[in-house]
Order: sequence, then C-alpha cells, then structure tokens
Amino acid sequence: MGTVRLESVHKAFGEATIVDGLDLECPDGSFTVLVGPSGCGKSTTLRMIAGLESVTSGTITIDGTEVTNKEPRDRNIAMVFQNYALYPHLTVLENIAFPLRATKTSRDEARRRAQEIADSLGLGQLTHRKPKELSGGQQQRVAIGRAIIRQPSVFLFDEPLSNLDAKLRVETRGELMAIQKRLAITSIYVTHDQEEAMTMSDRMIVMRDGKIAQQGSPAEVYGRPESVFVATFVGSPKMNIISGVLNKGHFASETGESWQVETNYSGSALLGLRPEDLRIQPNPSGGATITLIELLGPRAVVSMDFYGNKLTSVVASGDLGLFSSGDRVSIDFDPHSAHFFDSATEERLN
Amino acid sequence: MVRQQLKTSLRVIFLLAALITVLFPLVWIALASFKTAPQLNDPSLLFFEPSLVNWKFVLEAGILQAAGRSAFVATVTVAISAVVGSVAAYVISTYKTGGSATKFGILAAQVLPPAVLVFPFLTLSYVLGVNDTLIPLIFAHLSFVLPVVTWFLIGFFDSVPRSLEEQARVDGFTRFKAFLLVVMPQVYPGLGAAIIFGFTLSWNDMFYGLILTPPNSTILPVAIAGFNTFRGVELGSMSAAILVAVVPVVIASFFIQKRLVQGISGGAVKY
Repeated sequence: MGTVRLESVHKAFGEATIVDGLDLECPDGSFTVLVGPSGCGKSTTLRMIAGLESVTSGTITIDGTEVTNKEPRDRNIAMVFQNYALYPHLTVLENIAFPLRATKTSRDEARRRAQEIADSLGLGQLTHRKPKELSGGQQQRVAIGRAIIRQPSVFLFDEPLSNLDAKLRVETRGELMAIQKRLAITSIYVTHDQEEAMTMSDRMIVMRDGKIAQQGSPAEVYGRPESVFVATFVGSPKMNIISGVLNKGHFASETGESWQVETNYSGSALLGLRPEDLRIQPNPSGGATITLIELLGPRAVVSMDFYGNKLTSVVASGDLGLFSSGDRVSIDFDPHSAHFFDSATEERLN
Repeated sequence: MVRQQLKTSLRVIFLLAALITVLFPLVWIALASFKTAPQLNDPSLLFFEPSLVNWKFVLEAGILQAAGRSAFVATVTVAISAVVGSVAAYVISTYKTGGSATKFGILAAQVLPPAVLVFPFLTLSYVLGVNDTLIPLIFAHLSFVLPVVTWFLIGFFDSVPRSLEEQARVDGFTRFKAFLLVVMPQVYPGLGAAIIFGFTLSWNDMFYGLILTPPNSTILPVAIAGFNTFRGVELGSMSAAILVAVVPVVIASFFIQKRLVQGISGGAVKY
C-alpha cells in the first residue's frame, strides 16, 4: 500500500515549463483524479510518478521511500495506458502473467494466478486469444488484469477509457471503481473528461498550465469553484458567467438587469450560475431569447442569447411546454446558488 | 461484361509475358546444364537425352565447397548485421539519433563504388595478417549488408508503439529486457525479411570476393566466373554452377516478397 507525495515537482522540456512546482499528496487507498485541458501537465505528472519521465527538480515519494530518480521497475507501480499497450505477440494469459516474469515466480504459479485474475475479470474463456482478437472493452480488462497481478503499491491510469465508446466507457468506469474499492490500492487517474473525474474520484485535482488550479472532493470542487477556470471547466453544461457590478447586496449586469444577492463585496465582479440554478420564466419583456432547446430525457437544456452572451439553463422536461425557440424569457436565481469572481483576477469572492 | 472479360484477358496475357520473360533464362540454363557440348550448339534443341557430364565436372571442380564458403560468409555477415542492425535501428528510430539525415546517411556508403573500399580492405587484411582467410570478405560484406539491414529495420521499429516498451519497464523489466522481450518480437517479421535480404546481397557479391578471397578458397560467384576460361565459356558447366547459385536465392525471395515491399515502403506494418 502506498501514499504518493510530490513536493515542488518541476518539469521543463528545454525552455518550456510543463509542470510548475507541484505539491500533491495522494493518501493510501485513495482514488485521485488529475483533470484538466490538454497540455496542462497532467499526463507528464503521471509519467513522472511512473518514472517514465525525469523530474527537473523536486521529489517524489511512494510509501515513504524517495523514488525521484529510480527506474520504473523499482517503484512497485502498475500502469494502464490509453492504448492499453497489450503485448501483441502474447496471449491474454501471457499478457496478464507477464509482470511475474520479472520476478522469481514459477511458471505454474504465474499461470495459476493469471488464470484466477482472468476469471475474476470475465476473461476466463479468452485466455488463449491474442489481443487483436479482443474487443476494446476486453483489451481494457486484460490491461487491468496485468496491472492487478503485480499487487502494486500504486495504480496509474493514463486516460484508460478514452478509446472506448460512450456506453462501454460508463460500464467500465463502474467496474474500474469497484476493483479499486475492493483492492484499496492508491490510484492516480488522468483524464481530460471532467465528468469522468467527478464520478470516479475521491479527490479531484484540476490542473492548469502545470499548476494545481483547485483540489478537493468532487462535491467541493463543483460546489465551490475557486476560480472562473475551474467553475467553467467542471460541470456540463458549463457554468454561466455574467459580468457586472456588485453593490450593497445587489448585482447589476452590464446590460442593466439587477438581482438581489447575498454578498457584501462591492466592485466589478463576475456572476457564475450553474445551469441548474438558472431559472427562466416566459416574459415578453425578458432580457434573454431562447435559441435552442435540447431534450435529454427527464431534463432539457435551454440555450439562450442574453445581450450577446450565451447562457444555458437546465429545466424539467415537463416544463418544456412553456418554452419554444425564439421566445423571450427573464432570468432569475436563488441568491444562495450564486458564485462571484473578481473581474480582474477571476478568483472567487464569496 | 465484354469489357470486363477483355480487361481480364489482357491482364492474363501481360502476366504470362512477364512470367515467360523471367523464367525463360532459368529454364534455358537448366536445360543447358544437362546438355553435352555438341548439343549446346543447338539452342533450339528442347528434347534430348540428358547428360550429367556438366554436373560431374562442376562438382569435381569444387562448386559445393565454394557454395559452402559463400554460405558461411553470408551467414556470419548476416548474423552480425542482424544483432548490430537491430540495436542501431532501434536507437535511430527511438531517439532520432542524428536527426532525419541519419536514416539516409547510413545508405550513403552504397553510393560509393565498391572499388573505393576494396583497396583499404585489402591493405588492412595484409597488415592484420588475415589476408588468407575469409575475414576480410566478411568485413567487406558488412560494409553494405549492415547499412541495408539497419535501414530496412528502422521503419519496422518506427511502427512499434512507444508505450509497449514503457509498459514493460513499468511491469518490472530493465530497458534492455523490455527491448528484448517486448520490442524485438514486434519486428521479428521485418528482421526475418532483412536477414534473407542481407543474405542474398552477400551471396550474390562477386567484386569483393574476386579480390579479397584467397585464390584456392574462393566463393561461389567467383567460381562461376571461373568457367569463363581461356578456351572460351564452358557453357554447360557454367549453367550447372549458376543453378547452384540461383536456386537458394529464388526460394528465399519467394518467402520475403511481401515483407520486402513493406520494408522498402517504410515498414507500414500494423502490429
């Protein structure tokens, strides 16, 4: 079992800084997800933890042992790559058993353990097949099986679900979480998909430009984003941002609309509203015009044009009768649900 | 419908013509090797009583020994090329050693006529005292087989995903073990083709063999040329000797034809 700790870890390729002084701790048995737009340094961070990328400065410790300059094989980790990296020349069973060839495990013992794992992952009937004879989901499970057999201190996942189709992705997500909970092995998971990050993680780390933008439980990050970047990156559809001025418990938008709010700040600010918190009412003199209605089953996403600003609201499908494209609506919200950010720094105010 | 048939027949006719062009000389040589000297004077003679006189003469002249030496030189050359070439090609493919110029730079030596290199090889073999062995010839053959094998393999290594090797390193193996156990097996088909290709290059070389081998232990192409005597070309014997040289190459080419195209087109192999 292992706690992973990164202390002021830097990574630069020539002039370009990819990871900029990262401090990070993943407690034993936790499921940490690194999420961020492409180029934010999340994959490089993972590869540094794996030992596949050198560290420019800083230290990495796994389970109390410093591993900063150790070879990947000396870190007792397992990794699942985006393309699964199954060994094409080996069968399913040989793939799963392969890491044991690096240890002094006997051939029979290795086969027995690989078979056990294959059975537990529902691959029992496929053990003699080569990777290219498997479906994407099956390949994925072989990769997980190969990671499990080492009984590592840490699991590392580099966007392991992005090659699967949407339905399989949701299924595999569940399976992966169940396996992680059962084995209670510290896991670090990299994805660019904020929804995957929200559903899977105990701890979510949002990265931007090689730094941590925010970390915490998914509920914390979603409920109290600390910057406009995190607010708009996490959540789908993304948070609405309206610029305006805060004054004596009122927020006045640049376009002249005003709402009562619960904050004492004064000055120019950005109002952030989750689509589910943005309420709309049919109103011929309202400031917003409906441009698109997308039905998602029980709920629907209503897109609006608000003085050139695009806003979205999530409404119950039952209320759709009230709205149609081109209608004017007025917008409103519960003062508790409003997020405020500084106009200049884009940092959270309330 | 008619058009389609016409197209097909034209295609068949073209292929037949190509086939005859390629096979005719071989058939002619095969027939000639069983003809006596007088029969050889009638090239149109198709049906005759085959004679083994040429084969007997050729075998007594030591053609098999020459073939054995050729095979030995080619085997050693190719074995060294396979080991050194694999490692070199892997490094060039993985680390882009020397940039894109390397890939073509290695072949630059091929542009030089062998005559430029043969004198240094000969001088060196005297200096090192190995002039009466096959060692200088092996080194001379390495000078063109190794670059070709390396160049051929780069494309195959290019098509192996980097993550395979990284996976093996995470799975507990050293870099070298990862290379050996995981990366190499992906290029085995290419390596097989490169080996056969390199073997035929060495097997067919005559120029270096002519100058660098000791007079009494020459290699096959030189032995074949030996049938061009001061009394004229010993056509029957030469035909028999040529068959000895050609058959292994034709068989080998048959097995590598598909890979050869892949190698030349940059190793676009799906793993």
